Amino acid sequence: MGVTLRCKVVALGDAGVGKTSLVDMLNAKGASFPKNYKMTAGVSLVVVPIPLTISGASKLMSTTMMMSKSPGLSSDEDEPFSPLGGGGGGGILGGGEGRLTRGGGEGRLVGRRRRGGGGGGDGDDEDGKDPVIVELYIFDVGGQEIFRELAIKYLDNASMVLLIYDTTNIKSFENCDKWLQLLKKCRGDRVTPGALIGAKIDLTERRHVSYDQGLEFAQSNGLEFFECSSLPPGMGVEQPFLHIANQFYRAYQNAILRMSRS
Amino acid sequence: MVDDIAPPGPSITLGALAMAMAATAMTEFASAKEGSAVIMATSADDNHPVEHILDGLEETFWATTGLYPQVFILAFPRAVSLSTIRTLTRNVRKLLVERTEESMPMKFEKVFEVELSDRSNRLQAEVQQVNNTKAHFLRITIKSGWDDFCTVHRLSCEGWPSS
Ligand SMILES: Nc1nc2c(ncn2[C@@H]2O[C@H](COP(=O)(O)OP(=O)(O)OP(=O)(O)O)[C@@H](O)[C@H]2O)c(=O)[nH]1
Ligand SMILES: [Mg+2]
Repeated sequence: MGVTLRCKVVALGDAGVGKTSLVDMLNAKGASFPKNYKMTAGVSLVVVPIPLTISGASKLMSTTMMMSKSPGLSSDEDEPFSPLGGGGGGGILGGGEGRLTRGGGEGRLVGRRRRGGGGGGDGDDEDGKDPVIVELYIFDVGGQEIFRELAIKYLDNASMVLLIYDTTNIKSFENCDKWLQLLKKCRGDRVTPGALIGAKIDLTERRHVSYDQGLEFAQSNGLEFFECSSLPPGMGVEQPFLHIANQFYRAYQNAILRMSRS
Repeated sequence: MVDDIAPPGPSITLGALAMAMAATAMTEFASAKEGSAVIMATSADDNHPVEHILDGLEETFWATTGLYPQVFILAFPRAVSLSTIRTLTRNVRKLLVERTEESMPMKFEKVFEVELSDRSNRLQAEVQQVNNTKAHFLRITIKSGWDDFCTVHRLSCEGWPSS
């Protein structure tokens, strides 16, 4: 269809759980992985374009998504991509009914150089596919208590959430609920879809939160669950972002359907 | 109430006549036929392009594709004098309409700002009397929405050629 969607994402979680490291890893392939903790003072914004395209049938995802150094993707073959976890969470995305969502394709990742500019709709692909680009506007919110007042200002119109905890720190997992409550309050009780991410799984010896604990909390809060390590070379870094991009694309399709019908 | 006691015939007839005449003389300027065009928009979905706002159809629409504010600028072929601005939208919350008479769409001043009510995906019809507002360009800003996405189906700008 040829469209650029823009999605505001808030990355939330306790100080030091690895929010900035994860976003950096996605964006710069760990070139700037911070060995020493440097707190995020306030909120920092990173924009990451995730190109998707519509495929007739959803194929299986290739295991590695090649994200290039630049925010765009530069490998030249099309990596088919089906959103992780199939059915998708609840919230605004509920109801898989409707022509577009059922029969119509899922977004998938396209490895293709990004066209210049901030994403107008012109200059479509050479091979006639309709590109869908989801630009993630990721607001990386400093977890330190002193920034809480400021953080709140960024939450009210967030479309998606990345809620992050440290798998070696049980307290950061327990606090996920508080972050969700805060988000809910700021969003006027509206549900915010997104992902729960257990970080630092390279520190196997020190793990204190099991996969199942994370999964259960995610499921009871309508979030998709992921675990990752942002320590180079990284593990499972791209998946949460791709999931969010796909989910947002589907939310758009559903919104168009809803608005066309009522 | 004063309104209940209708004044004798002639004045009503005259008033109605004047209104009817005014109505027939008015032109719909927000249409491609009149030479108007949307010269910029912050969202572009090939299936729901901004041209749909001016095609005269209620069913077709321009879709916003995420984030607020969302903006589009309507250019009239020449400065016009507007009396009524109507919008047909879905999920729009705060709507700002600005104008400029200049030949370049640079500095705008406010015509009106409204908060539309949440009709959960159903059409919102908004009518504003703007008595003889002169404009060469209108800038329409959707400052916030009731959903991540909203749509604009029609924009109607009735008035007279500016003298
Ligand atoms: N071993 C390991 N260390 C990590 C990983 N992710 C982050 N770290 C370390 O954890 C520390 C904190 O990471 P940050 O990304 O700055 O944490 P943050 O969540 O942004 O913290 P605030 O900005 O204060 O909210 C840094 O010293 C990183 O090196 C990981 O996946 N594995
Ligand atoms: Mg940080």
